[in-house]
Amino acid sequence: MALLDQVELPKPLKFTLNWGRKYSLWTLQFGLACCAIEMAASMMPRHDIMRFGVIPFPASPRQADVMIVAGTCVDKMIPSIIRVWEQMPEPKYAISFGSCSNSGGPYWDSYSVAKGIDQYLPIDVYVPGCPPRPEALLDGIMKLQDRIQHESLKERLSVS
Amino acid sequence: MSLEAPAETSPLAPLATELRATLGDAILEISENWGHLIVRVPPDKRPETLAVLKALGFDFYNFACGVDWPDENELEVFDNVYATKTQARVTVKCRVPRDDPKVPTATGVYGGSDWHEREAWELFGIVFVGHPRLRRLLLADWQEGFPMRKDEVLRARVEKPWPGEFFEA
Repeated sequence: MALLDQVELPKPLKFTLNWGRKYSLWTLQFGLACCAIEMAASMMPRHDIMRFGVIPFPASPRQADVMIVAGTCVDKMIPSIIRVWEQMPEPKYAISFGSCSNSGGPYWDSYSVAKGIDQYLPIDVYVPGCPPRPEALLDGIMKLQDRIQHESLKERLSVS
Repeated sequence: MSLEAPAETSPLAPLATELRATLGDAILEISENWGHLIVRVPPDKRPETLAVLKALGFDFYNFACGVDWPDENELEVFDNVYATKTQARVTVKCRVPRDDPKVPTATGVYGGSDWHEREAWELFGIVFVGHPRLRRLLLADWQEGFPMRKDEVLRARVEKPWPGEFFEA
């Protein structure tokens, strides 16, 4: 990583590197509520998220590239989410899955639910729905892959 | 709220009579609602009432909770107990002043009331005197106030009102 944040890669190399990165997304799942069920469904054979190169269940956050925050984030859970997020190596991405983690959702009036996980983490893709269908997560994954394909690692790493 | 005392034909009538005989003046009101017997007692008689009920075969402690009555400036404590043999339910209610909400604990009678009282304490601010470990159960440590009280201000609503109001205007 010593060079990547200083030198813009030549175009073919950048394409190849990003192409490799986008089809090898190790996904850390932060399933917090009912959205976790839909997230699990997207990993089952019917929807089969692995055909997009997404690998669920990494052994540790230190091996993960993407974090999917799925479900209602209560204030008490936020420190744990941030702690796990900080253990992930750069470059890392976050997907906010479901209305609750997008904005608080139906719990806008609650005294204990965080009004959107984007107050704490830099979210790349928001997946709306309550809960979203597994297809919506697949679409979100494809949006994220699109983003990874076209991003410059130099910019990404030098900012963060 | 006008609930009637159990009629003589009610299956709960013998129980009501027995409670009146045992507790005497401690009972402020006995009423029946949807097959539940509701017993209203002063706060300091709460453990005693529950102990009597337990001796009468009410072996399962269902729940305790609170109700805020800001107009009367009172907080209400509920205890719901259940008899697994006869399948009867009794609710014990007592009211405490809002400014000094203190109720003796029922943990000595029903061990299961421990967590329910802790929850009522952190959500309503009802102090259960004699509770062995009255500390946070559900909320985050940095939560301020008692969120279930009616006059508690909801910070999210203050910063951004409910968008429904825009559509009405």
